[in-house]
This record gives sequence, C-alpha cells and structure tokens, in this order.
Amino acid sequence: MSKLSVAVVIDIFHEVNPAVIVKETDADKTFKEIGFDSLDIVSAFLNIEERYSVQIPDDEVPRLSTINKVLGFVNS
Amino acid sequence: MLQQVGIRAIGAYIPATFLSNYARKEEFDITDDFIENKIGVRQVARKAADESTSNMCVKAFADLAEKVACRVEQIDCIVVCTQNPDGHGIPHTSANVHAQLGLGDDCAAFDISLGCSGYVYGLSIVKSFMEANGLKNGLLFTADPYSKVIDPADKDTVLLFGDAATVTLLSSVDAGETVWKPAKFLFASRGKQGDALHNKNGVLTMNGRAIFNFAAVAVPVQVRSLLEAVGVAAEEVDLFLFHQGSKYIVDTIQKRLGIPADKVPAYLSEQGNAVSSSLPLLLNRHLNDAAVNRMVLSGFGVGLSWASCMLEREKR
Repeated sequence: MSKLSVAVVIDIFHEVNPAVIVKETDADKTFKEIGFDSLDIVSAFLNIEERYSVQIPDDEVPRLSTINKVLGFVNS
Repeated sequence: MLQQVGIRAIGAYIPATFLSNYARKEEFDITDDFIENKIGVRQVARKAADESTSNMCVKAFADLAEKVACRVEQIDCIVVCTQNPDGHGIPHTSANVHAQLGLGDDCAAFDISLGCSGYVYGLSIVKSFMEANGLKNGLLFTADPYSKVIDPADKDTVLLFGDAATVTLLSSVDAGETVWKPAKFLFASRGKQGDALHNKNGVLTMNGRAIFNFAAVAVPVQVRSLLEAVGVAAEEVDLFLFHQGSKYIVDTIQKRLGIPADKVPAYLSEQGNAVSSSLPLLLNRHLNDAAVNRMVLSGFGVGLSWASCMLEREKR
C-alpha cells in the first residue's frame, strides 16, 4: 500500500469537513488552528484507519495534532 | 389465523426544563457551528429532581391516552426499558408504573436493561411475548434519565444527553386493520467494548471516539444486512430512523450508507439524545405520515449493543 501523503490527509479532512480550507503549507499547523474540531479529527482518523489498515490508539490521538505528525505515525 | 401484533400509537413526555448549550460555549470552548451542525443539540431536557423514572413513564402514558382509546383494564403487559430505574432498581420500575397506572393483577410487568438499542430490542420482546401468550394490548415504555448519572462538568456527555420518556402501544391486529408491523429484526452485541459508555461509580463516562467509530462502522453493516435479509432495496425504504446519538453520527451513517439525507430525519436539537427514547420520539413524528409505508429503525450504543428492524404499514 502506498504511503500516506500530505495530499491524501488533506483530501480526507476535506471529505469530513468541506467548509474548512486546508493547504499543503498547513502541514505543521494543529488541526484546531486550521479550523477542525474534535469530531472532524475523530472522523478523519477513522477514515485513515480504514484506508491504511492501521490502528491509531486513543492515547496517540492528542499527540497526532498536525498533518505531519499523522504522516509520521502512519508511515512508520 | 395466527395472532399478529403491531404498533398502534406512541405517547411521549419531554420535561419542560431545558439547559441551553449556548450558555456553555465559553466554558467548553465550543462554537455555534459545533452546537448546531456537529452535536446538533441546542438544549437538553432535564427532569425535575424529585421526578422518578416511573413518573416520567406515567406522563408519557397520559399523552398516549389523549391520542387513542387506551383503558388501563385492557392492558395485558407493560415493559419498561431503562438503565436508570426508580430508586436502586428494586422493585423494578415497571412495577411502580403498574401501581401508578392502577393496572390489574393480571397485567404482566417487567423491565429491560438496555440503552440506545433498547427500543428495537423492546419491540421484538413485547411483540414476541404478546404473540406467544395471546395478549391483546401491551405497553413498551422507554425512560432512561441520564441526568441522574451525568457529571455537569463533563463536556462529552452533559451537552448531549437529555431526559425523556415514551410509551408505545402494541396491539393484536384484527382483520381489516392497518398498523405498523415490525417485519424483521437483527441484533448484535460487543460486550468487550462495554467500557466505552458506562456508569463508573455512579457517574456516566463515555469514550466518544470509541462510540463514534463503532457506530460509523457497525450500523451501516447491520442496516445493509437487514435490507438484504428482507429483500428490500434502500430506494424502497421511505425513511431510515437512526438513534439520535448526535447529528454528526447520524449524518456519518447516512453518508456511509449512501442514502439521501431527506430520508434520514432528525429530532434531537430541542431535547438531546434521549437514549432508548430517541427512536420512539422520532418514530412518533412519522407514524401517521400517509406517504410513509416502510421504515428502517436502528438503535446503537451502550453495551456495546445495536439492533435494527424493518417496520411496514400493513393491512391485516
């Protein structure tokens, strides 16, 4: 399976909340700074888990606060 | 002809006291968008401190009695679905309802301990109990006032759950009558994830992410299985009624099933997630809609437990 990329994470977050605009330059901003709330994050993480057959444990969720941190976790 | 039992009418009770979620925006760092478009709950209903679970059931019955002729001497069984019973649960809440309604000794009464899946389970239990024992009229109550166990400072639960009660009149159907008939049920449980929503030393605790993931994945699978089991296409279903856990979870299930949003009505913004009462509150709004002849009901939550059924308007 191909690695998770910034563009794919952006697509997934766009799917769960199209009202929030995300750019590739936002990869180190927190999801909250970008404009996503806790429900958007939970929903996007579920989509990532399903598409990439990974488990994101509950205790990792607070740490995975940016696109790049999510990439680091999933691709490792 | 074998006896068949169907749904005749629903009575509802929503307490008149409400707590506004807008009043807690600053405290919980939430926005109008979060209130209206995510949880979808503007205010939560709260019972009076001295109002018992059985009191709420009796008020739902009063609403039912205004809609249909429903004399207490004609009731053969009553069932209360609750996990927040009167007192400490002994005697069972249905016994207290039995007493307050002045029902006779020949009326059966028992409780069901289930949360958000309880209405669907309850329909099957009461229908089966009545058909197996030749009973003509039964009442299925739902009343699970979570305000008894909610921590007022817990953002995850206090903004979401509201108190309410309902009662559904199920009756044996005579020839020529038209009623709503539960056509097919599916049930499921996942006890190993029970701690995702549980009462911990008297206080409700919820892992919102675990509940969301469970519902988003498991409910569409069960609904598809239900449609397949009865040989009905999603396009042939007039309405899909989902447990009103939050607007977000209902929207997510609707999108994952690929069904039109206008077939998935909502009813939680003014009272909140009423646990096992949420489905009958919603069903009550569509029971007499002449354009609706087939509905899917799906309840999911505490347990984890989930159950779905097909309801069809049928002339006997």
